[in-house]
Amino acid sequence: MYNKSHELIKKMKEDFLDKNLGEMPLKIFNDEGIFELELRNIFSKSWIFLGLESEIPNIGDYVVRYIGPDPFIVIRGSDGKIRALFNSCRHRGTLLCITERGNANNFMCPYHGWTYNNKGELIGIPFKEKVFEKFDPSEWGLTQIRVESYNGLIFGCMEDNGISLSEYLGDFKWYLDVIFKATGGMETIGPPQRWVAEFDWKLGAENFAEDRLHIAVVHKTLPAYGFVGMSRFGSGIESPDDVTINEIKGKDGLPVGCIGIRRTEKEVSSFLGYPREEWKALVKDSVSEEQWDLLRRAINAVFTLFPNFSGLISADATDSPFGAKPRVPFHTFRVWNPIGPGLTEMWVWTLVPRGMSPELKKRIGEVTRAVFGIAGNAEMDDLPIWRRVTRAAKGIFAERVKVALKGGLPTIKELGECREWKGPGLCRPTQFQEESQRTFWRRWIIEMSRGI
Amino acid sequence: MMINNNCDLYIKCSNFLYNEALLLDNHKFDEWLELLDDDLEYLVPVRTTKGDSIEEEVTNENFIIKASKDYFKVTISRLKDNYGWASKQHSRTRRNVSNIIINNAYSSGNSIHVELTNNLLLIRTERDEYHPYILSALRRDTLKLLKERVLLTKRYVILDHSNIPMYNLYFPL
Repeated sequence: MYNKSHELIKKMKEDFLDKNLGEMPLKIFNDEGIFELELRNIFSKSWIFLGLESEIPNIGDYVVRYIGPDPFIVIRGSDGKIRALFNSCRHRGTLLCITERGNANNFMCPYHGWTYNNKGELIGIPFKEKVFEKFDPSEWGLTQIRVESYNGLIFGCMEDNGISLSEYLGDFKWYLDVIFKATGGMETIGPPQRWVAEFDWKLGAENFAEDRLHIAVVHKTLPAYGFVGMSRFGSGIESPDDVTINEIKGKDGLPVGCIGIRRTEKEVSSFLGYPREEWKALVKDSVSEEQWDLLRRAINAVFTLFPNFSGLISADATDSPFGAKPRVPFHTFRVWNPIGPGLTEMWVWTLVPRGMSPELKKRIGEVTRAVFGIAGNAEMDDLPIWRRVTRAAKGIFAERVKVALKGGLPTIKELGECREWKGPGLCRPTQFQEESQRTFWRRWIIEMSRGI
Repeated sequence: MMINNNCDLYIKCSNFLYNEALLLDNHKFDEWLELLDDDLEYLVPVRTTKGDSIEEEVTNENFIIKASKDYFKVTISRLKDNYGWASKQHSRTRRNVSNIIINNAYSSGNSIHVELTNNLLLIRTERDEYHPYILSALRRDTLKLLKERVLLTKRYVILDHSNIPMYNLYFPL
């Protein structure tokens, strides 16, 4: 089975990377060998989003987060430093922490009583003198992975000797700054929604990376029933200021993400649809003039940062289409965490600008959950469809069935280029294309074919 | 008011809940809307596994659903659209409502308000798939008993799940 998966990867590398055909075998959406290879080649090498610094503001605060099936206690130690400790006692391996969040000075294993402080150091061993006299506890602290933050976002990386988070993000930082810095920083509305669904994580990641074409079909009802404004979202009408920025590269030269941005006409300030009285929370001099200008005109931004962190902010939405409540942007951010072949755990946060009013934050929470999350009117329609892709991909016939992602390939349709674009990446003057999704897949196949 | 040994009250309330479950299981969402009080408050909070008690784990900071009757009117009409994909799955649901306990009842104007708790065991089957999904919850409901009919005026759904084993929730719980 494993060898067959290697064969699939080898063939896809040829078709997708070398020949640029935009084709892939259906089987990659549901395959044990591919899943394991993803854990080894992608999830244990990349910087993976774990949560927000503001989720654990105080000494001892922790959340348990996952990379694939691997659990980590993300905790602020007594020295103020944030660590990601593998959630397993170093004696007999017991899962140490069985809560999702809390505050702890230490963790005592219920099996033989080994105890660790919130920096992960082994500080207590029952019968130490009697049984472990010459045992050095300093060598048996909890296993840690690297942790670094950017704009309050915490990422973890299992690879000890890899590049830094800053290098990994590279040019993508330019866009992260627009969303997470110029807005004055983001904080979460309560704990994330969490659920498990039988679909492949890559379907979510590529959808946010970004799939403008599905909006006109899957989400046709959103504007029709008034959840989002007709002029600004999903109508299928292309405004001349809709762009996709593809092939945004890390410092290592690898494509790390893409972002779709819709803007209003020139010289109009929209700031993602935040009400005018909230604009004082935005921080103009935290970013460059070009970044500020982008935020000023943006009404919609959607991205995937490789491999599995995605976000979407879109102006002019509501949970009460016939009510008088204010229309605000929805704000959904998520991790598509693979926990098995064709099986994904969803972690969905509503993140809001920290400096804005409590009323607006509450309103953004209401509107966002009406559209995204397990019961959101957009997300509830996406999931059964991604599930159907994954079901079709389960058998062996799917190994020889190819699926096409060819929109905007040089041989298929010329996309043009925004030469005046001030930010990094390859800017296309349209969102009606599939090159941005191919950016995700190019990185995927580069990583997956390493050593094959 | 005597509540625990008031058979009439108990039967009215339990009949309401069973009938409601039947309507939802039959996808008769429009008829379900008629059971809702205009001031309905419907809440499904996010649960986080962090303590021993419901009060610790369900903090009302974030919700899965926080809805009014108007919200349901719109979402239900959307589901009936040809492009309301979630409902096109036609999931078969079987709601088992049990352990109904009336905690409080009081008169207010021309109605009686009844506060009760009940268990919901929802079994969901997807078309011809063999593998069912189970969702279980405690519901804290408030019913409003009028002369001719009963209305749901508040529902607070406490899920047993902080990691929900279901790919979406397009139907009310």
